[in-house]
Parts: sequence; structure tokens; C-alpha cells
Amino acid sequence: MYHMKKLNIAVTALNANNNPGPGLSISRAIKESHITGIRIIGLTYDILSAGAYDDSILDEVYIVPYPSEGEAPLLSRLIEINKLAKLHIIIPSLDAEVMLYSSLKSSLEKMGIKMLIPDRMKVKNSSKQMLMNFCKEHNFNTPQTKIIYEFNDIQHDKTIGYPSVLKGSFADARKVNSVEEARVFFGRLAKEWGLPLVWQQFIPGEEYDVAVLADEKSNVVGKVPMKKIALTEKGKGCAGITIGDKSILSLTDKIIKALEWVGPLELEFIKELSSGKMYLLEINSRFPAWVYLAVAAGQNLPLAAVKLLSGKKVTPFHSYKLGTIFVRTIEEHICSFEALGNLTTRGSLIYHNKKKGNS
Amino acid sequence: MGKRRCSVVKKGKQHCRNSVIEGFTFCESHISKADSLIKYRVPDHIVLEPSDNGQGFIFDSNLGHIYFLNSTGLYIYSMMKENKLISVITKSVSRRYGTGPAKSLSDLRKFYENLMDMGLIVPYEET
Repeated sequence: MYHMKKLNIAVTALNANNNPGPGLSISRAIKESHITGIRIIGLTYDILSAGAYDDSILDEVYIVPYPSEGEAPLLSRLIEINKLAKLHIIIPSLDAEVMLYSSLKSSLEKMGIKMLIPDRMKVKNSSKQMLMNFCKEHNFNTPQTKIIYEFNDIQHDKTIGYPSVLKGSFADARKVNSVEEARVFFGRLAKEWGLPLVWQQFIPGEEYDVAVLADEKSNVVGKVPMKKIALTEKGKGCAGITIGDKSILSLTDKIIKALEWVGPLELEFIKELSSGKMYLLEINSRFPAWVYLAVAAGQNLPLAAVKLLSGKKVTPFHSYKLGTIFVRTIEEHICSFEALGNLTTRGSLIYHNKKKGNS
Repeated sequence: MGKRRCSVVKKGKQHCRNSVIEGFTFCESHISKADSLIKYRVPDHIVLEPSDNGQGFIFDSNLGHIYFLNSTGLYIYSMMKENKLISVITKSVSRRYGTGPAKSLSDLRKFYENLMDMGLIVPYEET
């Protein structure tokens, strides 16, 4: 155990329903390092983000504007929060907000707030819309993909076919077996996530995900791959096991180099059953929700990110425990009416008061 | 149709006259011939994990697949992990379960083929 001098770390993505954000896992990973002097500050858009009420992990919680409101309202709210909580580090953990935070990087640095995220162009290159171009340019396999602005684009297309996968621009995906199904899910996904949508060829196979952290020079600090062993009805992994396939590990290194990535990342692959070929399905510009599995397997990637941002020397991880399993459970968390009331009316919640001198 | 005779030729003499084990060309007395026919190794990325109820599971750490083993499977695969010869495994199984070597080798062959299909053992290649 060692001490870090008064470090206030803000973490986003506190939604903790059956499709959780990574915020609580990241916070838990940092908190369980038992390094003294660290305070975890949750930033949330929604007063009903379940994770905001976990007072065993979070020290404070603040409401921030939705990413759709843009940079200026977010910056002005972060200035307010900084006056109250004195932030040192922010770990943006939702796909929809990484671009915003990347734009605000220099403004936040001037306030003394550090983030381990790449510049806007690199974030853009990692988006679902740019995946096909990125893979083509760097010779990675990826399913045939088309950007959909209106339903006609699906109806008249002859390239993707069925079954296929229709994806929201930031999250959510549905397998569609016919044009009729595509019509239904196009409506639902467009309503929830806005346009354009991403339409992808369906590759039958097994899915593998990798949690990665790269430093400011795009050197891989740690990487842990896992196979999903149980899925929710939306296809999200709710149980997984760490694996050691060397081809996935070396592919991950190549992708990080090609992206010139800085910070946390999740790569999603599918291994085609018929050919054994590995396809890159998606790049998510943040830690995955299952990042605590990497911690349990021996690579505390969120803590490594914090250490990098604090100027500490971080030795890259070279191994992890194979066969480590996570199973996601949901439990009722009892919170006080006062907590809900404070978050609603004041936009903030203080669970644990700062010790004297923690500024 | 009569049962086929063992193909092993005794030194300077005629063929062994015993009946063959089903699926093989040799008899129980020449079961060690199986060792040159069935050569295998367990790949490094395959992990065998016994559990405390006498059963266990195999974890393919490349693919993330998990296979459950009953006590017989665990007994046999444990010996395979130790690179035991097929004839040695056959004799051990016969002793443990009171089955004749011919029946044990036939059953073992089915298990061996399943393991090979799943990549849990691979053909042994001489270096």
C-alpha cells in the first residue's frame, strides 16, 4: 500500500442496470487498491443512475449535462464542480462523451485536470462509422459495414444481406433476419440513439473482447482478453472468462499502434466459425464495463491509468491469470430519500466528507 | 464373417492367431502396438482442473471453452496430461473398472477421437 497525495478522481458512466456503464467497475478498481488520499467523484447525467447511490465506492456525486448538450454546458458545469471538489483527474467512460472530453482536454488541463485520452481525430477514427475505413487502410478484417441515414438505404442495399446487425451510433445492436425486422429495429434504434445507424454483415462465430490501456506514446501498458460465456438478450456479456489466445493479443498490439491510441480502450472481435478468421467488430474508446475482470486477473488497468496521469512510473503488465471468471449480478441497493433529494435539487451528493487539508 | 486375426507376426514365425480388438489390427496380447498408432500430446494452453467431488473440467485457454469431465474422463485425461502411453492408460482403466483391455481400448478410442476433434489433444509430432 502506498499513499498518493490528495487525488480527486472523477469517473463517469455510473449507470448500473442490466447493461451497465464501466464507471462503478473503474471506481471499484481504484478504490480497492487501498491507496490512501484518493477520493472518487461520480459524474452522472441522470438522477436515477443506480451507481450514483453506491456510497461504498463513491465519495461524492455530481450531475453533469447530457453529452448531446455539447461542450460549453459541460465545461461550465465542470468549472462549478471543480470549485467544490477540486478535480485532479477525469476518466470519461461513455462512448458518447469521449469526443467531448477530448475537445475540452486543453481547457481542463489549464484547470489542473488531467485525462488519458487521445485527440479528436483519433477518437473519430475509432468510431463505428469509421471502422470500415480504418480496417481497410490497415489491413484488418472487419465485417462489411454500411452507414445508414434512412431506411431506404437498407431497403435498396444488395451488399450486406441477412442475417445482419443493426447498431446505434454509440451503443446497442440488434440482429435482424429480414427487411421487415430491419424496419422495426431501424425505428427503435434511430429513436433512441439518433441517426446515422451502422449496418453490419453478421459473422457467425464466437465473440472475444479485450480491455486495453495505452500510455501517451501509444505503448500498451496492459491488455486482458476475455470470452463472453453468457449474454443478455441484447447480446451484452454478463459472464466471461479470461483467455490467452496469442493471435488476439498480437492483433490488439497492431490495432493500438495503427490507431496511435492513448488511454483506455475496448476491442471487440469475432472469430468466424467456418474459417477461424478474426474480425474486428467494434472499437470502444473507454474501459469496458467488465474491466474489473482484468483487475481480478492481475492487471489493474484503471489504477495504472491513474498512476500514469499522476506522473508515476508504470511498468507494463506482461501476464494475467487465465481462466478468471466474472458473473454479473444485479442487487437492490437501499438508499435514503435524502440522497435522492439532494441529487435532484442540489445536483450533488457528498457521502464522505473531505478530511481536513484535502483540497 | 469370422473375426479377423491379429496381424502381429511373432519373431520368425507365423501370425498371432488371436482375434483382433474391434477397430484395431492387433489382439489383447499385443495391446502395446496401440502406442505406435495412437500418439498424442496435450497442448500447453489446455488446463485440467480437478474438483473436490472426483469430477473436473478442462479449460481451453485460447478459445475460452470449458468442458466438464466425469470421474472416468478425469481419470483418463489426467494420465494423458502426464503423457502416459495408450497401452498404460488402457491397462489402468481395465484394472480400475474391471473391464477387459479390449473393451477399455475401444472405449478409450472413442474418447480419444472426441478429444482430438475438440483440439484438447493434438497429434504428437516428433521433433
